[in-house]
Amino acid sequence: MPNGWPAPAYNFTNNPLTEEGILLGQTLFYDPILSRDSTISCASCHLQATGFAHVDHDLSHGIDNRIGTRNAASIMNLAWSKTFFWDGSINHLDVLPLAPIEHKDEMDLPFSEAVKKIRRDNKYRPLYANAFGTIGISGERTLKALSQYMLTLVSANAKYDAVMAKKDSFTIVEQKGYLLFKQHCSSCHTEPLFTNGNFENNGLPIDTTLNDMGRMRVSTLETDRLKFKVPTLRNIQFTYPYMHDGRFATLTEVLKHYNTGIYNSNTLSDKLKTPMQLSDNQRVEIVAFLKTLTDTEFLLNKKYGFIGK
Amino acid sequence: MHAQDSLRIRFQLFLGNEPIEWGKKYITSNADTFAINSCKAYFSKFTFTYQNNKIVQIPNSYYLVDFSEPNTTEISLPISTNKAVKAVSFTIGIDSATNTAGLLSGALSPMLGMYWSWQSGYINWKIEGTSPSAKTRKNAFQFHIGGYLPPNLAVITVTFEPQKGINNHVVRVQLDELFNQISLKETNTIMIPGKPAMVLANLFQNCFHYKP
Repeated sequence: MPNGWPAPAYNFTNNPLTEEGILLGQTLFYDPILSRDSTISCASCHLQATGFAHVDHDLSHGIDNRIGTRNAASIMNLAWSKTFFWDGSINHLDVLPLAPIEHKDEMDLPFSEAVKKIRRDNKYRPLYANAFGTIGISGERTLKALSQYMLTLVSANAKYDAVMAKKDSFTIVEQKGYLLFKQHCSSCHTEPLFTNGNFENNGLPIDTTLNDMGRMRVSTLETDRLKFKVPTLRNIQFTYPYMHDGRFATLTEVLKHYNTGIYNSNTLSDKLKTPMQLSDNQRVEIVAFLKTLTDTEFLLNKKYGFIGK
Repeated sequence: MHAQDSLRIRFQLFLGNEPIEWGKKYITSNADTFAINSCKAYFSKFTFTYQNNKIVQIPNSYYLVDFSEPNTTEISLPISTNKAVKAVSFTIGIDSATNTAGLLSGALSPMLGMYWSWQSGYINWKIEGTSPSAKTRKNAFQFHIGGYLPPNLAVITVTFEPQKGINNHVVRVQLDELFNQISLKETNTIMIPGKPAMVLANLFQNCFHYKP
């Protein structure tokens, strides 16, 4: 657990992490066996080198080249998250994999069928036995192992973290960017996780080809219209494109949106009602700071990488 | 457990005066012809009020009843001996706390077709069938009713006063009370939490009748 971080939301006593459990979860994460025609794995849309996000696609695509309706989110520091997905439709990490596995545009396989496929693959029998102490492949074990692996994906070793630990220092530009960030951004992108975990309307005009209402779809509350979960900004340099529908390809565009592109509507976040009025230089400074959230050790660590055939 | 130490409730699915036959054609009072192919429901939080007004909730009492499997339709609950039960109550569906507890097993396993994968949460009950009034693919109607977030918390409570001196009780689920209140042309596919699900949840509550 990184120094100074809040207590995790995940209850580890119900699913204690073990080396064998993590190995099983990692094997499953990289195995396309979880999709109907064995073409798509979790890693298809969640690539380590880009913060486990689906880089360079506005909307993520899955099985049979089908295109979904959102940009696949990054995967990191999930133990601190109380809800998952852009609209928070998933309420616990242990049930999260059911969604992409069963979704017709993603992996398109009933979860019970996925478990049957795993049972037919000889390599898994010892992996499950080692992970859980007894022979047996079940849905519950599959989900727990996937959680175990995902919970190890902790990114807390960026330049920002080194600076906070007084082991490094910001450049002048980064330092200016940090002060601006604290003034304009951190009420939602709260340190040290760089998200407050809430749902906010950040002033994006609706894309009428998608009509994505965000959190309102889950809560049915009019007050949640166009609200989406505040994403973490850790490793943001590499998780492009940005926003729930991937509409911005660069951080420069993102900053421009917050500065002059805010679309006002009833549910717009209070924090965005006053224009930021950032100069060109100030926007560059904020982007320079955001790049200090890049955790190269996390992105390139072989420990998290592909294992399989 | 001795037989006298338990109270047993058998749920029976009825239309009119007869037990439901799967696939048989029935007619609603709105003149919709329909047939039912499956019905499953979660019953939970069984609570007894004893004659001395002591209220006891049976811990971990979560049951999935599949009406097509008769061995699941009787629920046996432990009772204190020598005490008369004045009232029995239970909920249809799964409470909010259990819905957010993460991965559970047994009757609450997410692999029993009673859990939504795309949006976390249990399906409290489901009824599926066909009706020519439903202009859907293969004329199917599908009611998957759930929801744990207010204002669409679709959990409902049923209470009955059991006849004294016996331990075997019957609760009839009279589906007329639901199907006579809807038009299958208008209402045939409800599979997400929300207002329409709440309407059906309340209609389903009216279906439960204790049969002395």
